[in-house]
Amino acid sequence: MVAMMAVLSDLIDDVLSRLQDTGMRLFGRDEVARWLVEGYRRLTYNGRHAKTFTCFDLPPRHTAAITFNWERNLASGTWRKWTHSANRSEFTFLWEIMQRSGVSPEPAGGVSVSNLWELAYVDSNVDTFYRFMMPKHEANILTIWHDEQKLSPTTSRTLDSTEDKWWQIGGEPFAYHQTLGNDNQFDVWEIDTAYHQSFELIGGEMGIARAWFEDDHSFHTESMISSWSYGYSWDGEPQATDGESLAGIGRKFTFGPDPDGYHYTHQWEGDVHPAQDEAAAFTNWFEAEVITYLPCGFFRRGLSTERQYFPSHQWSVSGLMRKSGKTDNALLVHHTVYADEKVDEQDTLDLIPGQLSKYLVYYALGILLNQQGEGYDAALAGHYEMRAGRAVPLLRKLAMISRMDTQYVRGGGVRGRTEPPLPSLPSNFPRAPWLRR
Amino acid sequence: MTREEIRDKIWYFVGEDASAPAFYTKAMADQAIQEGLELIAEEIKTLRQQAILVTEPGRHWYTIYEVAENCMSPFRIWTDGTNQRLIPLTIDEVDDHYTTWLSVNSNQPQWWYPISFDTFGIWPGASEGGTILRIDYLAWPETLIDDTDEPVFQEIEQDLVILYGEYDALIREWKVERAMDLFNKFATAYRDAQFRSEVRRYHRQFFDRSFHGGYDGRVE
Repeated sequence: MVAMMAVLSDLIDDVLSRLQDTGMRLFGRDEVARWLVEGYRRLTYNGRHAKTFTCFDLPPRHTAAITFNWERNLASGTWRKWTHSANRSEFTFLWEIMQRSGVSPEPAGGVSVSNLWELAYVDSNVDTFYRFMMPKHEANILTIWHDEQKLSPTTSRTLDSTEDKWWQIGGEPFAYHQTLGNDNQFDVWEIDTAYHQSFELIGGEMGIARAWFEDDHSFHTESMISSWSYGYSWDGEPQATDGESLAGIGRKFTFGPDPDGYHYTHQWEGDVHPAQDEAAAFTNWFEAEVITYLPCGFFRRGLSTERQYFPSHQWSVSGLMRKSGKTDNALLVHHTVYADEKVDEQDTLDLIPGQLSKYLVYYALGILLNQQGEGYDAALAGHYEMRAGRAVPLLRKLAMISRMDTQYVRGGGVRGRTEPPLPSLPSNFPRAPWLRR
Repeated sequence: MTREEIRDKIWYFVGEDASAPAFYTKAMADQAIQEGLELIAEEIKTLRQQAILVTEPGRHWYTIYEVAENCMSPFRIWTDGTNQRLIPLTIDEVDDHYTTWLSVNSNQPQWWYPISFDTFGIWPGASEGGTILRIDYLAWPETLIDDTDEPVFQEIEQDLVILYGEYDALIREWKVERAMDLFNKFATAYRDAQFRSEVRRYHRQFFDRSFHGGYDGRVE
């Protein structure tokens, strides 16, 4: 038996025990948890060992389209500012700025979109960057592919040298840069304005999506149960049958109850007796084909001989897959991730091996023992800080463990990282110290 | 040594009565023993095990949790399909080699590459699947759950665990100076253990006479 994942509450207990403060006279659980979680976030950020893939549909999608910069502070997900800022105001078109500035505006042209996927539905150029934004806890971008072709990293300075509005040039993406947006944003060049969407989650708006759709493919969860075992018209019916509960999954084929307690078959009946329940109802067998999946089972992985799927949060051994993507006509980003600061006591710390969670304990002890007051002990705090510092090199080593094997591989070995051989010079060649390694 | 024997030695060194420890409890000592074992494993990388993984259709990536519960990280992968050791690369190297590597599937894997600390890829991804991969991995020590359990390390390394337990007891008593002395001793000792582990690995490889067909006195 091996502890695979650490649980935060266990680590809090450990810290309090080492502080000889299990009665929480000096430090409360919240305070200890706060430093453990901060240590976890720092360790996962500095270790750069947790990496994953994220797929982006084209054109880029964002959680929020914002008009003013201050709205960034309110957007809980990714955002895109779709307006032009000038004179401490926000404008939709350049001609508006010219008008405001007292300059004769150029003939109005172009369009403005609040979301970049709207590019697929407009004919002319849009005068904003084709910009992607990584989610909050996804740190360094390692590689980006488009349609399985690696994009070259470049800079805005290089693109500016084209002396053209490069952000409007359409075509196939083949380069990206991170020089104009925030650190967690990147721009792709050239831009693909056609609408691409990897998967449509069917029923996701009603809870957990159990079926997926994409162009000519559709997917659904597999279950031992392929149909409903029984139908019922009112809530107490399954229990009322012969005094025993019915086995299997039942489907209620009526609406209701309305405030008067009635169940009804047609929506208009509900209008007569207003009800809140919006569940679908059908009375004929063929109507069941409209619903292609049963409300049981979760989609946890996808296998295909055609392509590799990219589950979100793939590092977790449990939980649900809530996002899925592919590389065809999409961006695939390999990047590092680090931990969220929102960790509850019962949460597991999945981004480090459970065995290394002791370094979080050392980190927290190093902080807590450095607090002025009864528990202050500078020497001990320094010792624990020193011990906590060992975790980062360990994690970095674990993340690139295949390097350990390189010297033993069969012929050919590893490409790409070896230095070129030194030139062989004649013995009477003048001394060339710059060639010495 | 069993866990009980290790614990008794720790108690002896820190002056605790094994029949009724006053300060350094059994739970604390057992935790220190486990922690010491893990430290040895992660620093010396002396535990190496093998597990079998069967490829699945269309799949490129596997997690260490599928390899084994105590898998720290794989370091050698052998395929039964072609009887070859897979070449370890990085993602960039795979990509440089074969542009459309993500959509190439075959039942003859050639390379492997790390993706994250807990995920690695096999290239090409399996087409039909069913290929046997023998994965040698660095392992975490098993949790000792009974007093009669014996750590998997050699006894000389188990002495390190006793040293670590002694350090842990002292630092819990906030006897910082002496605890740090012991920790420095522990660090020095595990460097020795690292050296022993390396020598065990390389000694036969280079100097064993059966390997070279006779020792001729040369040091390579």
